[in-house]
Parts: sequence; C-alpha cells; structure tokens
Amino acid sequence: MRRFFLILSVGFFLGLSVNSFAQEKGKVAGEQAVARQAGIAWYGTLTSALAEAKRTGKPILLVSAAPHCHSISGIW
Amino acid sequence: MDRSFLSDKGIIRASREFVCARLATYESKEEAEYLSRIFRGRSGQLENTVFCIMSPDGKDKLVRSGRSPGWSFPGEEEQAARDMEKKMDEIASRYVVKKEARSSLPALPVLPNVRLALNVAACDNLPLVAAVARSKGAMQKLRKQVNELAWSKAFIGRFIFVDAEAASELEKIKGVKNQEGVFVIAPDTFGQEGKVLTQVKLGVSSKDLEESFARALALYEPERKETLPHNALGRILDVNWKTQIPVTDPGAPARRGRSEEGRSRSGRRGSRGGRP
Repeated sequence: MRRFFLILSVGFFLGLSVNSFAQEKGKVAGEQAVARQAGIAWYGTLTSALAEAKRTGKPILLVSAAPHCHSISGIW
Repeated sequence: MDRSFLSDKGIIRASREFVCARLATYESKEEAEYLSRIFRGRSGQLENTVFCIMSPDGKDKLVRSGRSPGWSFPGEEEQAARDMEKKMDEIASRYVVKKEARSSLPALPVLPNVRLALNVAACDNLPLVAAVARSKGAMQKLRKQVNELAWSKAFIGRFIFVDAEAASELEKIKGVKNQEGVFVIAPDTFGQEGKVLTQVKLGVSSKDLEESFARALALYEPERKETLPHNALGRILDVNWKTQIPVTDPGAPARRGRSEEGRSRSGRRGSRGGRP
C-alpha cells in the first residue's frame, strides 16, 4: 500500500513538472518569437525588385540562395 | 548564404535604404541568367549562392560580387559586418530616393507561388502570410491592408508573403476554414506542409488584421535548425526538393532519387517531394 502511494505521488510530481516545463517552453518560445528583431524585408523575385528599385531610385542589395541543401528543403 | 551578416542589426538598419532582393537560385531561368552575369564560380557555372550590391537599374555592380557578403567584406566577422554597413550607408548616400517614393509604401514583397513561399518561410523560420481572394478588386484591397502591416515597424521583415486566387492553393496547409481572407501559416520543418496559426475573412478591419498578425507571431515557435541533423532527417523522410531548373553548383551532388533513366523517387508513395 505504501509503495502504491509512493509511486502515485512520484507520478503526480513528475506529471506536474513535465506539464510546467512544457508550458514554460511554449511561453519562452512565444516570447522569443515576439521579441525577435525586425529583419530585412526581401523581395523574392527579380522582376518585383527591379520594379521597386525603378520606382524609388534605391540601389539593390542582391542575394540569391537555393532553398534546399542537397535537395532537402527547409534550410538555406 | 551568410546568415550572420544578414541578421546583423546594423546591416538591417542600413538595408532600409535599399531594395533588398533575395532570389531563390535555380527556381527561374530568367533569374538564373541574370545571376550568372553577376557571378560565376570557378566552374564557370551559376553556383548555389550569389551576393552583390547593384545600381537601381540592376546593371552595375557597386561592390565585388561573390558567393556571400564575406567575399566583398573579408576579415573578422564583426569588423566585416561593420565594413559592410559603412559601405551600404556610403552607397545609399549616392542615390536620391524619388520624392513620390518617400511618401508611399513599397510594394508588397510576395513570392511567386505557395510552394516556394512555404519553403522560403521554413528556411527563414518565419511565418507565411497568404492573402487569398478570387476577384482582382478584393485581392487589391487585401494586398493594401497586408502591405500597410508588412512595412510597419512592428512587423517589417518578420513574415514571408504570398497571394493566391483560391484556398485550394493552400491544400498542403492544415486548418484552412475560410475560402478567402488572410491566413498566417507556420511552415513545417521542410517547408512542404504547414498549419494555420490565425485566419481572418475577406473584409476584415485593419485593426483585426493587425491583431491576427501579432497573435500569429506570439503563437509561432521558430525551430533551431542545424544543417546535418536537418538533412539526415530529410533523407530518412525522403524529402526531395525539385528545382525548376537544373542545379549547376559543382559542390551539389546529383539530384537525389534520380535513376539513370531520370525517374524521381518522389513519385513513390509517402514521398514529401514533387512539384506543386
């Protein structure tokens, strides 16, 4: 009986800490997303970038990169 | 691509006086021809990455071109970033921004299709904003609303954008309930699928759209990606991104999954690859 209550209480505390860890992780990730700095606003096509440069007279910061690595997408 | 330079605060500040173009290599024949004129590697071919600063007409190189900013601004990383920032300020000071452009917002930076936009969003670890409207008039109105937020201090550079004529173009996205409107989407690790973070219907007020953007940013959990484990997982899951034109970088292996007859494994059941 004592062993049963011991296992139950360990399980309860483990559950609590996993839950609070998951909540904290979600909270931190959300805060990180909100706190992230503004980035460079990229035009994704040459035509749109040239049109905007023509309209504004601004020079062009040009970068090109393949949106895959060894055919695996999701990474530059 | 040299991400450390392009996420540098000073360079982001300096970039506001430039039109920033980031093209997806091997996704357009015309763009590949243009890029090949700007930089070719030792192989004489277009390689995976290209960097340069160009004149407003896109014809003259204003710095040495190369594969990354590090080719134009060599040396220790922090100092090189400061050199690049200084050079950008100097270049920007040479050009007078047209008066009418000063008093209006830039155009919305949309990617050409949902497939590529989702992948780019995954690469950047940013949410994707998809504006969906059937009629030209509705799309124009939606774009204007989205554009005002896209260039606002709170959201600039924090989303990837695309538009679509029908919700069916979002077939790889889970949680799409509306037929038209604005959807903010979290891309999956490989940018081949996604899930809706927030969605608003056509005719949404600008205030509600702004709230939708802010809520999506709060909900979005960017991933920390490392190339080796990412690629290892991608191989296990048979992820296979097909470029629109052949990859000519000599450092890139032959396209995975292509047999000698040129068939792709991506046609197999369970594959995550393939054309849109």
